[in-house]
Amino acid sequence: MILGILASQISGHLTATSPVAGYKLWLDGADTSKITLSGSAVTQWTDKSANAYTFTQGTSTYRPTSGLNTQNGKNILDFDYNRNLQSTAAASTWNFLHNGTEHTIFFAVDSNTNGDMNLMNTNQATTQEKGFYIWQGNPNYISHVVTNGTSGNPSVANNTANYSLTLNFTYVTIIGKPSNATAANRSDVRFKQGSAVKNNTATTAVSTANCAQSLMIGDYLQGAGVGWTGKIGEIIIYDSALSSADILTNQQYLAAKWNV
Amino acid sequence: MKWYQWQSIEDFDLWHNALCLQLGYPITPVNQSTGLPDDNAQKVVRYCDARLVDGVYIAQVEDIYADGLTMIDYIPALPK
Repeated sequence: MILGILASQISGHLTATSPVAGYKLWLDGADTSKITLSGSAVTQWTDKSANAYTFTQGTSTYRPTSGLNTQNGKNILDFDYNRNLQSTAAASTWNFLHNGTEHTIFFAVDSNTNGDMNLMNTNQATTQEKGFYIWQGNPNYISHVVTNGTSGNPSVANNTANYSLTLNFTYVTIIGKPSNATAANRSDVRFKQGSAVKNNTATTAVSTANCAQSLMIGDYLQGAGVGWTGKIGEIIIYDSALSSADILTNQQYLAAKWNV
Repeated sequence: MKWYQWQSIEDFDLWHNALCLQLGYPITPVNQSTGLPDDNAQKVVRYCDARLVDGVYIAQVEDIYADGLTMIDYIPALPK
Protein backbone atom coordinates (compact mmCIF):
# COMPACT_ATOMS: atom_id res chain seq x y z
CA MET A 1 0.00 0.00 0.00
CA ILE A 2 2.87 2.30 0.83
CA LEU A 3 4.16 1.87 -2.69
CA GLY A 4 0.91 3.26 -3.99
CA ILE A 5 1.31 6.53 -2.16
CA LEU A 6 2.66 9.50 -3.99
CA ALA A 7 5.68 10.91 -2.23
CA SER A 8 4.47 14.42 -2.59
CA GLN A 9 2.35 16.31 -0.15
CA ILE A 10 -0.69 18.22 -1.29
CA SER A 11 -2.42 20.43 1.24
CA GLY A 12 -1.18 18.30 4.05
CA HIS A 13 -2.53 15.04 2.55
CA LEU A 14 -0.77 12.22 0.79
CA THR A 15 -2.65 11.40 -2.38
CA ALA A 16 -2.57 7.83 -3.60
CA THR A 17 -1.67 7.32 -7.25
CA SER A 18 -3.34 3.92 -7.39
CA PRO A 19 -6.18 2.26 -5.51
CA VAL A 20 -5.67 0.53 -2.18
CA ALA A 21 -4.30 -2.98 -2.80
CA GLY A 22 -6.55 -6.02 -2.85
CA TYR A 23 -8.90 -5.03 -5.65
CA LYS A 24 -10.46 -7.85 -7.62
CA LEU A 25 -11.13 -5.63 -10.61
CA TRP A 26 -9.61 -2.34 -11.76
CA LEU A 27 -10.75 -0.93 -15.07
CA ASP A 28 -8.84 2.29 -15.75
CA GLY A 29 -9.88 4.31 -18.77
CA ALA A 30 -6.88 6.58 -18.36
CA ASP A 31 -4.51 3.70 -19.04
CA THR A 32 -4.82 3.31 -22.78
CA SER A 33 -2.35 0.43 -22.80
CA LYS A 34 -5.22 -1.69 -21.46
CA ILE A 35 -7.63 -0.77 -24.26
CA THR A 36 -7.76 -2.18 -27.79
CA LEU A 37 -9.58 -0.43 -30.58
CA SER A 38 -10.85 -0.87 -34.07
CA GLY A 39 -11.01 2.71 -35.28
CA SER A 40 -12.18 4.49 -32.16
CA ALA A 41 -14.38 1.61 -31.02
CA VAL A 42 -13.36 -0.55 -28.10
CA THR A 43 -13.11 -4.29 -28.59
CA GLN A 44 -11.43 -5.04 -25.26
CA TRP A 45 -10.81 -3.36 -21.91
CA THR A 46 -8.40 -5.27 -19.72
CA ASP A 47 -8.51 -5.23 -15.94
CA LYS A 48 -5.36 -4.00 -14.18
CA SER A 49 -5.69 -6.35 -11.21
CA ALA A 50 -3.63 -9.51 -11.01
CA ASN A 51 -6.67 -11.31 -12.41
CA ALA A 52 -6.35 -9.47 -15.74
CA TYR A 53 -10.01 -10.02 -16.56
CA THR A 54 -10.95 -9.04 -20.07
CA PHE A 55 -14.14 -7.22 -20.99
CA THR A 56 -14.87 -7.58 -24.68
CA GLN A 57 -17.26 -6.66 -27.46
CA GLY A 58 -16.95 -8.35 -30.81
CA THR A 59 -20.06 -6.88 -32.43
CA SER A 60 -19.41 -3.60 -34.19
CA THR A 61 -22.58 -1.70 -33.33
CA TYR A 62 -22.35 -2.52 -29.61
CA ARG A 63 -18.83 -1.22 -28.99
CA PRO A 64 -18.20 1.84 -26.79
CA THR A 65 -15.66 4.35 -28.02
CA SER A 66 -12.37 5.56 -26.58
CA GLY A 67 -9.91 8.27 -27.39
CA LEU A 68 -12.55 10.82 -28.31
CA ASN A 69 -13.14 12.54 -24.95
CA THR A 70 -11.28 13.20 -21.74
CA GLN A 71 -11.90 14.14 -18.14
CA ASN A 72 -9.18 16.19 -16.48
CA GLY A 73 -7.05 15.48 -19.53
CA LYS A 74 -7.35 11.74 -19.05
CA ASN A 75 -8.86 9.26 -21.47
CA ILE A 76 -12.37 7.96 -20.77
CA LEU A 77 -14.71 5.52 -22.54
CA ASP A 78 -17.97 6.77 -24.05
CA PHE A 79 -21.03 4.57 -23.86
CA ASP A 80 -24.24 5.17 -25.78
CA TYR A 81 -27.37 3.27 -24.67
CA ASN A 82 -26.66 -0.02 -26.44
CA ARG A 83 -22.89 -0.23 -26.02
CA ASN A 84 -21.40 -2.67 -23.59
CA LEU A 85 -18.38 -4.73 -22.65
CA GLN A 86 -18.77 -8.09 -20.93
CA SER A 87 -16.37 -10.09 -18.85
CA THR A 88 -15.11 -13.23 -20.54
CA ALA A 89 -14.69 -14.89 -17.14
CA ALA A 90 -17.25 -17.43 -15.98
CA ALA A 91 -20.37 -15.85 -14.52
CA SER A 92 -19.56 -17.47 -11.18
CA THR A 93 -16.49 -15.22 -10.95
CA TRP A 94 -18.86 -12.40 -10.02
CA ASN A 95 -21.05 -14.28 -7.55
CA PHE A 96 -19.49 -12.30 -4.71
CA LEU A 97 -21.52 -9.30 -5.84
CA HIS A 98 -24.80 -11.00 -4.90
CA ASN A 99 -24.20 -14.07 -2.73
CA GLY A 100 -23.76 -12.30 0.59
CA THR A 101 -20.04 -11.63 0.34
CA GLU A 102 -19.22 -8.13 1.50
CA HIS A 103 -17.82 -5.97 -1.27
CA THR A 104 -16.87 -2.41 -2.16
CA ILE A 105 -17.34 -0.76 -5.54
CA PHE A 106 -15.95 2.56 -6.75
CA PHE A 107 -16.79 4.12 -10.09
CA ALA A 108 -15.99 7.44 -11.76
CA VAL A 109 -18.59 8.33 -14.39
CA ASP A 110 -21.09 10.79 -15.71
CA SER A 111 -24.26 10.39 -17.74
CA ASN A 112 -25.47 12.44 -20.68
CA THR A 113 -29.11 12.34 -19.74
CA ASN A 114 -31.31 11.70 -16.73
CA GLY A 115 -33.01 8.62 -18.18
CA ASP A 116 -32.95 5.03 -16.94
CA MET A 117 -29.69 3.29 -17.72
CA ASN A 118 -27.57 0.39 -16.54
CA LEU A 119 -24.00 0.86 -15.42
CA MET A 120 -23.10 -2.71 -14.55
CA ASN A 121 -25.01 -5.91 -14.21
CA THR A 122 -24.83 -9.62 -13.54
CA ASN A 123 -28.54 -10.47 -13.43
CA GLN A 124 -29.82 -9.27 -16.81
CA ALA A 125 -31.87 -6.72 -14.84
CA THR A 126 -34.82 -8.93 -14.17
CA THR A 127 -35.93 -9.58 -10.64
CA GLN A 128 -36.52 -13.21 -11.59
CA GLU A 129 -32.80 -13.71 -12.05
CA LYS A 130 -29.93 -13.90 -9.60
CA GLY A 131 -27.24 -11.28 -9.51
CA PHE A 132 -26.76 -7.60 -8.97
CA TYR A 133 -26.94 -4.34 -10.83
CA ILE A 134 -26.17 -0.64 -10.52
CA TRP A 135 -28.65 1.55 -12.31
CA GLN A 136 -29.29 5.25 -12.85
CA GLY A 137 -32.99 5.83 -12.39
CA ASN A 138 -35.04 8.64 -13.83
CA PRO A 139 -34.66 11.43 -13.00
CA ASN A 140 -31.73 11.51 -10.61
CA TYR A 141 -30.84 8.57 -8.46
CA ILE A 142 -28.62 5.52 -8.30
CA SER A 143 -29.92 2.06 -7.47
CA HIS A 144 -27.84 -0.71 -6.01
CA VAL A 145 -29.85 -3.90 -6.32
CA VAL A 146 -29.16 -7.53 -5.44
CA THR A 147 -31.69 -10.06 -6.68
CA ASN A 148 -32.12 -13.61 -5.49
CA GLY A 149 -34.30 -15.07 -8.21
CA THR A 150 -37.60 -14.39 -6.48
CA SER A 151 -39.65 -11.92 -8.47
CA GLY A 152 -40.33 -8.72 -6.61
CA ASN A 153 -38.26 -9.67 -3.57
CA PRO A 154 -34.73 -8.38 -3.95
CA SER A 155 -32.21 -8.86 -1.17
CA VAL A 156 -31.03 -5.29 -1.62
CA ALA A 157 -32.69 -2.31 -3.29
CA ASN A 158 -31.02 0.91 -2.25
CA ASN A 159 -32.35 3.85 -4.23
CA THR A 160 -30.64 7.14 -3.55
CA ALA A 161 -32.51 10.34 -4.21
CA ASN A 162 -31.84 13.66 -5.84
CA TYR A 163 -28.27 13.26 -6.93
CA SER A 164 -27.64 13.89 -10.58
CA LEU A 165 -24.78 12.36 -12.52
CA THR A 166 -26.03 14.06 -15.66
CA LEU A 167 -23.15 16.03 -17.16
CA ASN A 168 -21.62 15.83 -13.71
CA PHE A 169 -18.56 13.61 -13.78
CA THR A 170 -18.11 12.28 -10.28
CA TYR A 171 -17.15 9.24 -8.28
CA VAL A 172 -19.40 7.00 -6.26
CA THR A 173 -18.66 4.44 -3.56
CA ILE A 174 -20.93 1.49 -2.81
CA ILE A 175 -20.36 -0.78 0.16
CA GLY A 176 -22.43 -3.94 -0.16
CA LYS A 177 -23.22 -6.27 2.72
CA PRO A 178 -26.19 -8.14 1.23
CA SER A 179 -26.61 -10.57 4.14
CA ASN A 180 -26.38 -8.03 6.92
CA ALA A 181 -29.09 -8.57 9.53
CA THR A 182 -29.90 -4.86 9.49
CA ALA A 183 -31.53 -3.98 6.19
CA ALA A 184 -30.13 -0.46 6.05
CA ASN A 185 -26.61 -1.79 6.38
CA ARG A 186 -26.90 -4.00 3.32
CA SER A 187 -26.07 -1.16 0.95
CA ASP A 188 -24.25 2.11 1.54
CA VAL A 189 -23.93 4.54 -1.40
CA ARG A 190 -21.78 7.65 -1.17
CA PHE A 191 -21.40 10.39 -3.75
CA LYS A 192 -17.88 11.77 -3.66
CA GLN A 193 -16.98 11.94 0.03
CA GLY A 194 -20.53 12.62 1.11
CA SER A 195 -22.57 10.90 3.75
CA ALA A 196 -23.82 7.34 3.42
CA VAL A 197 -27.17 6.81 1.70
CA LYS A 198 -28.68 3.68 3.26
CA ASN A 199 -32.26 3.43 2.01
CA ASN A 200 -32.54 -0.33 1.65
CA THR A 201 -35.45 -1.93 3.45
CA ALA A 202 -35.33 -5.33 1.76
CA THR A 203 -34.62 -8.27 4.03
CA THR A 204 -34.93 -11.25 1.68
CA ALA A 205 -32.13 -13.79 1.94
CA VAL A 206 -29.53 -13.80 -0.81
CA SER A 207 -29.08 -16.58 -3.32
CA THR A 208 -25.79 -18.44 -3.44
CA ALA A 209 -26.50 -19.80 -6.92
CA ASN A 210 -24.59 -18.47 -9.91
CA CYS A 211 -25.53 -15.08 -11.30
CA ALA A 212 -27.42 -14.98 -14.58
CA GLN A 213 -24.51 -13.68 -16.63
CA SER A 214 -20.91 -12.59 -16.35
CA LEU A 215 -20.37 -8.98 -15.38
CA MET A 216 -21.48 -6.59 -18.11
CA ILE A 217 -20.38 -2.96 -18.14
CA GLY A 218 -22.66 -0.44 -19.84
CA ASP A 219 -25.87 -2.43 -20.32
CA TYR A 220 -27.78 -5.33 -18.85
CA LEU A 221 -28.18 -7.51 -21.91
CA GLN A 222 -26.63 -7.50 -25.35
CA GLY A 223 -28.75 -5.18 -27.46
CA ALA A 224 -31.13 -4.31 -24.65
CA GLY A 225 -30.74 -0.64 -25.40
CA VAL A 226 -31.13 0.61 -21.82
CA GLY A 227 -27.45 1.00 -21.30
CA TRP A 228 -25.22 3.67 -19.88
CA THR A 229 -25.14 6.87 -21.91
CA GLY A 230 -22.15 8.86 -20.82
CA LYS A 231 -18.55 8.59 -19.76
CA ILE A 232 -16.96 5.79 -17.77
CA GLY A 233 -13.53 6.65 -16.45
CA GLU A 234 -12.80 4.01 -13.87
CA ILE A 235 -14.30 1.06 -11.99
CA ILE A 236 -12.66 -0.59 -8.98
CA ILE A 237 -14.19 -3.55 -7.16
CA TYR A 238 -13.13 -5.38 -3.99
CA ASP A 239 -14.60 -8.61 -2.64
CA SER A 240 -14.51 -7.21 0.88
CA ALA A 241 -15.86 -4.21 2.75
CA LEU A 242 -12.98 -1.78 2.94
CA SER A 243 -12.18 0.09 6.13
CA SER A 244 -13.20 3.73 6.41
CA ALA A 245 -9.57 4.75 6.01
CA ASP A 246 -9.13 2.71 2.81
CA ILE A 247 -12.39 4.03 1.40
CA LEU A 248 -11.22 7.58 2.01
CA THR A 249 -7.86 6.82 0.39
CA ASN A 250 -9.57 5.59 -2.76
CA GLN A 251 -12.00 8.49 -2.79
CA GLN A 252 -9.12 10.94 -2.58
CA TYR A 253 -7.32 9.05 -5.30
CA LEU A 254 -10.35 9.33 -7.61
CA ALA A 255 -10.98 12.96 -6.70
CA ALA A 256 -7.42 13.96 -7.52
CA LYS A 257 -7.13 11.86 -10.65
CA TRP A 258 -10.36 13.00 -12.26
CA ASN A 259 -10.39 16.48 -10.70
CA VAL A 260 -13.84 16.19 -9.18
CA MET B 1 -28.15 4.34 -37.05
CA LYS B 2 -31.69 3.37 -37.87
CA TRP B 3 -33.76 0.24 -37.36
CA TYR B 4 -34.32 -2.18 -40.24
CA GLN B 5 -36.23 -5.41 -40.52
CA TRP B 6 -35.92 -8.87 -42.05
CA GLN B 7 -38.66 -11.44 -42.42
CA SER B 8 -36.52 -14.35 -41.24
CA ILE B 9 -33.25 -14.96 -39.48
CA GLU B 10 -32.00 -16.61 -42.67
CA ASP B 11 -32.61 -13.37 -44.56
CA PHE B 12 -30.75 -11.45 -41.88
CA ASP B 13 -27.83 -13.90 -41.87
CA LEU B 14 -27.53 -13.69 -45.65
CA TRP B 15 -27.28 -9.89 -45.53
CA HIS B 16 -25.08 -9.87 -42.42
CA ASN B 17 -22.62 -12.47 -43.73
CA ALA B 18 -22.18 -10.52 -46.95
CA LEU B 19 -21.59 -7.28 -45.02
CA CYS B 20 -19.04 -8.90 -42.70
CA LEU B 21 -17.21 -10.20 -45.76
CA GLN B 22 -17.28 -6.71 -47.30
CA LEU B 23 -15.96 -5.18 -44.07
CA GLY B 24 -13.15 -7.69 -43.83
CA TYR B 25 -14.22 -9.26 -40.55
CA PRO B 26 -12.67 -10.55 -38.40
CA ILE B 27 -10.65 -7.39 -37.74
CA THR B 28 -7.71 -7.47 -35.36
CA PRO B 29 -7.78 -4.46 -33.04
CA VAL B 30 -4.83 -2.27 -32.10
CA ASN B 31 -3.61 -1.27 -28.69
CA GLN B 32 -4.76 2.30 -28.03
CA SER B 33 -1.45 3.25 -26.46
CA THR B 34 0.98 1.75 -28.94
CA GLY B 35 -1.12 1.60 -32.09
CA LEU B 36 0.17 -1.91 -32.68
CA PRO B 37 -2.11 -4.85 -33.57
CA ASP B 38 -3.00 -7.09 -30.66
CA ASP B 39 -3.67 -10.60 -31.89
CA ASN B 40 -4.67 -11.72 -28.43
CA ALA B 41 -7.43 -9.15 -27.95
CA GLN B 42 -11.06 -9.52 -28.93
CA LYS B 43 -11.49 -9.17 -32.69
CA VAL B 44 -14.44 -7.50 -34.39
CA VAL B 45 -16.37 -10.53 -35.58
CA ARG B 46 -19.92 -9.30 -36.19
CA TYR B 47 -21.49 -6.09 -37.43
CA CYS B 48 -24.79 -6.30 -35.56
CA ASP B 49 -27.25 -8.72 -34.03
CA ALA B 50 -30.89 -9.20 -34.95
CA ARG B 51 -33.67 -9.37 -32.42
CA LEU B 52 -37.12 -10.90 -32.94
CA VAL B 53 -39.83 -8.30 -32.29
CA ASP B 54 -43.47 -8.67 -33.33
CA GLY B 55 -42.67 -11.48 -35.73
CA VAL B 56 -39.84 -9.80 -37.62
CA TYR B 57 -36.13 -9.61 -37.05
CA ILE B 58 -34.83 -6.11 -36.46
CA ALA B 59 -31.39 -4.60 -36.09
CA GLN B 60 -29.76 -1.20 -36.12
CA VAL B 61 -27.63 -0.39 -39.13
CA GLU B 62 -25.61 2.66 -40.08
CA ASP B 63 -26.94 4.53 -43.11
CA ILE B 64 -23.89 3.74 -45.25
CA TYR B 65 -24.61 0.00 -45.01
CA ALA B 66 -28.38 0.17 -45.32
CA ASP B 67 -28.90 0.23 -49.08
CA GLY B 68 -31.76 -2.05 -50.04
CA LEU B 69 -32.88 -2.70 -46.48
CA THR B 70 -36.41 -2.18 -45.23
CA MET B 71 -36.51 0.52 -42.60
CA ILE B 72 -39.07 0.35 -39.81
CA ASP B 73 -40.81 3.57 -38.90
CA TYR B 74 -41.11 3.00 -35.17
CA ILE B 75 -38.72 2.60 -32.28
CA PRO B 76 -39.27 -0.88 -30.93
CA ALA B 77 -40.25 -1.29 -27.33
CA LEU B 78 -37.24 -2.26 -25.34
CA PRO B 79 -37.22 -4.48 -22.31
CA LYS B 80 -36.53 -2.97 -18.90
